[in-house]
Amino acid sequence: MRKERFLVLFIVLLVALSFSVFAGGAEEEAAADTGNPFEGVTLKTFLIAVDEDMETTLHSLEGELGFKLDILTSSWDQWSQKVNMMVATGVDVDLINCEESLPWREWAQDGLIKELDSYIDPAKHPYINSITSAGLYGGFKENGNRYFLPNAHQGSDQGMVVREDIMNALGVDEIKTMDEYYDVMKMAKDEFGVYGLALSLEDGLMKLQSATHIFAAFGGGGFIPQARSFYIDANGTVSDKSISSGTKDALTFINKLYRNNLINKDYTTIRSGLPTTYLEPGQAFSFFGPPISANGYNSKLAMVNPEWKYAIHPAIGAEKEDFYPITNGFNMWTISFIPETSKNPEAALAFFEYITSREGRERIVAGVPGVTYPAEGFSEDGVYEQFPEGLKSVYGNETASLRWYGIGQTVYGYIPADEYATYEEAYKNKVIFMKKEDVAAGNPLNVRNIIDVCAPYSGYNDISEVPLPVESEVRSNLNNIKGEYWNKIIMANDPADIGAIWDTYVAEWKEVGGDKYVAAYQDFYNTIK
Amino acid sequence: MIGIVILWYVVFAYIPMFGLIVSFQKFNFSKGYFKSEFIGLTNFKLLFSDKYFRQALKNTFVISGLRILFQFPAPIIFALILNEIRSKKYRSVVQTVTYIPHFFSWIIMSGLVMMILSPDRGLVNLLLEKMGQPQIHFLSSVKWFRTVIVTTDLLKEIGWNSIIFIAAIAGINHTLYESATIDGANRRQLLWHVTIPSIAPVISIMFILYVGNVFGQGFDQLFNLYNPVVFEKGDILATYIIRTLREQPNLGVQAAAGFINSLICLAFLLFSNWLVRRSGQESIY
Amino acid sequence: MMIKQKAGISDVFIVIITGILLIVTIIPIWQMLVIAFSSPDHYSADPYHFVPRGFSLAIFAELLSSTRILRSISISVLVVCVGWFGGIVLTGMGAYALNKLNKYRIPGRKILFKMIIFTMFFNGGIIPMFLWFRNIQITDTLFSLFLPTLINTFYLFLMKNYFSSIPEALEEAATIDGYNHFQILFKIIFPISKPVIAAVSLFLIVQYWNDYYFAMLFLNDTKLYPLGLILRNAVIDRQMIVQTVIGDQGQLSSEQYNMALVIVSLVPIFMIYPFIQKYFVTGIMVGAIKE
Repeated sequence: MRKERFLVLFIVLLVALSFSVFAGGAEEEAAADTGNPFEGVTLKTFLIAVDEDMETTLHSLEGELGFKLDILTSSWDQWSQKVNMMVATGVDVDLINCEESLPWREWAQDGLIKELDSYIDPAKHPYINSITSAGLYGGFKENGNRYFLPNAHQGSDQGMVVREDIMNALGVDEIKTMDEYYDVMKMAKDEFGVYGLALSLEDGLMKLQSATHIFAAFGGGGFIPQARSFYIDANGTVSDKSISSGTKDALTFINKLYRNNLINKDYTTIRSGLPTTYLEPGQAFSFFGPPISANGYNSKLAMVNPEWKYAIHPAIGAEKEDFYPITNGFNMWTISFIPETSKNPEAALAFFEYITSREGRERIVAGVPGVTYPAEGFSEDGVYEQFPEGLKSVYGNETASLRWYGIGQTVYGYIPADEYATYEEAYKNKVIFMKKEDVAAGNPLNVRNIIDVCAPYSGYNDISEVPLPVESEVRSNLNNIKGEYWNKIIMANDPADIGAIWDTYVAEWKEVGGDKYVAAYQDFYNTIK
Repeated sequence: MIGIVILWYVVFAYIPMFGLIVSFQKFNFSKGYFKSEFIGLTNFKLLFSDKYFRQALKNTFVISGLRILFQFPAPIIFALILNEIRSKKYRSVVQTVTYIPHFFSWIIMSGLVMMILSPDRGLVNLLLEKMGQPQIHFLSSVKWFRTVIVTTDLLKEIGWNSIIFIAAIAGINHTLYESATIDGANRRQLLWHVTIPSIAPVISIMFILYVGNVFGQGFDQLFNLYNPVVFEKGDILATYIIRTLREQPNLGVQAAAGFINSLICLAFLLFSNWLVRRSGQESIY
Repeated sequence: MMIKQKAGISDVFIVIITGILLIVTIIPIWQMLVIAFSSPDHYSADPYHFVPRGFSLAIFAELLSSTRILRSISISVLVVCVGWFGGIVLTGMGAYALNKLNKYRIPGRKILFKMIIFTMFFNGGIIPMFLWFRNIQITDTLFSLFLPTLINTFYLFLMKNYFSSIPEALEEAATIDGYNHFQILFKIIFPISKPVIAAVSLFLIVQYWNDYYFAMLFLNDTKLYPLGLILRNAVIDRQMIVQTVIGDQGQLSSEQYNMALVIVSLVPIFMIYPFIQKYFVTGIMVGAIKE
């Protein structure tokens, strides 16, 4: 009876399928009388690029939270598309984390995301209340209402990293200028056969991230698609670093590296933030990126040659006038909001509040219980040494910035919002975590050290954090133009061609809306200064 | 029995088509298809005013044209060549090996392609270096990108696509060959006057199918191989849609782009069908 | 070829061309194998990965101990099984039914044919599909991975042509014996249609196993990611599957990991391939030539 057998098998498969699909779905039972306001709730949250370990880490927080987590995610390059589709089609998610450049204002106006004023309670949500009451947040209200919660990095945790062993072998102590940098790279190539700089072209977040230090040193900028690179000179004139001479110089320099084989020429096909295929086996002398990653690369370098090591290097040209700190703490970069279709807004806020509190942040940074720290949990003083003097000394007078703390484990500390009256005060007194074993072992690649050395890359001005409506019209076109022309310049065969390519680039940039863009920000600056 | 099949077609093929109405709307999901604002051709106008859309459109045509020109004849020629191989063993080895790349998804294939064409570490450039030529950065070069795309797809599918033609050749009546040889035909004449005309019907049907499909294809390959430097030559409609989904709150615009894509596919199918019918061969419609 | 001819220049030409094709196909595969099976320190030392050194299964061990990977493999297997089974059954039913319509000259069959063929060349695009799936609530479920492609019109016609070449006498005898349509299809026709079923099976299995597109569009829950999507994220997006917290990534090399993943994803296909090979050429042949 083969037909019947087939049908039965088919039905069994379908049933099994449905079980696997629906078994893990959200359960919403009536709240039992246990005093836990979130009994039976499952919070569906969308967070970007959550890998296995992060997922385990987050699930380990469920005990403290009192509700379960259902974590949705996507790859970096699909992030914005996914979020856009989710909001546009009213998917039932409680908390979504997305880039600030997405059309959240339109969503707010169309009633697709929840306004938060009726949910935020200063007693229950000290941190959320603090940051959304900060001065600069005022510019982000829509109709006088709050619609999102900001996330970001703390200042800059990215910097220039070089091969310490090569520096020692060449007898170089510190590189002070870009010309010196070029010479050292050439020597490294001749004697050790390594690329001077390992480059990648990440399609999405930071194009040319690995060359940030070069842009900064020449006073150029504008290569991070979601960041604003405005410069305000002494007269109050706003200009965009994307078309500045500093950028042209930086690109010319990179082109020189390219023509002299000091850069991996296949960088356009490498879509990750850092070209690990070159960094892991030690085929490059330097790169720009999170030095904390260098900890990982060092262990792989040791497999090739135990003498090889990456070390962090101070910012080149940081004292000079034209140095332009680019990363701006990624401006706001990402925001979290609650879609209108959510059924658990209180749980969403509780979740956000917890992961930005002292305990939550330390749990997230520490990682997976039993794997990255002892399974018994934290001792009374935790796994980390707190660096309590705040970072005033490191960052100078950055006071009103919106560089707030976020969800990811790349943010190594927290803001003590419950200890200070205003957000600005609390921000000045950020607390940084430093692994006790790093402190004990004297590992130079520890967080405190890194933030110290990378601080020059973290800049801010009054308009760099504000998204004006004009941006959503022109930003993607401007970025496309940059992507096209900057790489043309870098890969130009003859440096004499660069001038012409640059001029075409500037003309096109202006044509697709660059002038309009700058004008809008100029007007805005004029009103606030 | 036919009922279930029809049901599937209705649910999964025809109803989604109904969603095309969204191309004419300023779509808001909570309002649904019927209450969203109808804005006629505004979405389309918006699309055509976008330089990158026009570029993607042009690239779709050009790349598809190249494929028709080069990728369509290649398996035919390959089948003819295979037919001429004397040694059965060698022939089956070639066949088996060339079938393999077809089973690789483009994700795997693009990993391999990137490795082989890499400027400093890839074998192709190594060869060029040995021959004293300068390096070529195939995947970042506006000049070479389309060539790479067409060539790699050709190599990937040549074995598989030739199966039909091999089968057709094998089905040719041998007496035709015999009588032609008796009449004094040499190898080349046999090929030209017996083999090719006999498989002409198969070629024409495959041509129609190929042209009808070629416009919708290529997404996988391009999506995995392209990068911002070569957008001007390599971005096609399908990849444009996926890429621009990030910033467009009005889904109607994307839907409009998809609509245009499908219309072009259809137009070319009908056109090639007509063309083939004109030339006297069998056609589908 | 039955004609005997002297060996000539054209033979040399043929051997050269096919030889190049062979080399070009095999070399990347070889490199891939070398990378995946090298031990980590040998991998780091050699930039070209042409000559194998230091065989080791370390990377595979690491890979197969990751829950996400194992789960994605089982999801892929599930999707393949359901997609294959459903596909064969439904396509077979459709092919059989279309033939019957032809035979009994049911009115309206030409229009039905045309409408079915039409779907081969025109579809609404991804936005309408996404919206519709959202409406029927199958986004972010496994159903969205196989339902949209359950019936492929091309394979439908392939089967239909093959079935139409089956002698009618068989079916008539069965009808006389009191079989209904379903029984005829599954007990009589399927067993003697092995070639075309094998061919279509191979197509379906490869298609579902390699798929990442629908998964990328519709799935947000990592528990449901099939292997194809994990592979895509690793190779194209260079997103490491196992990324331990703050910097210490241990002994894994990302390129080795990716190649090992690729090999894992190829294994099932090459396991099935030899069994199916004998059948699919005949299957395509008879199915297609009859057009």
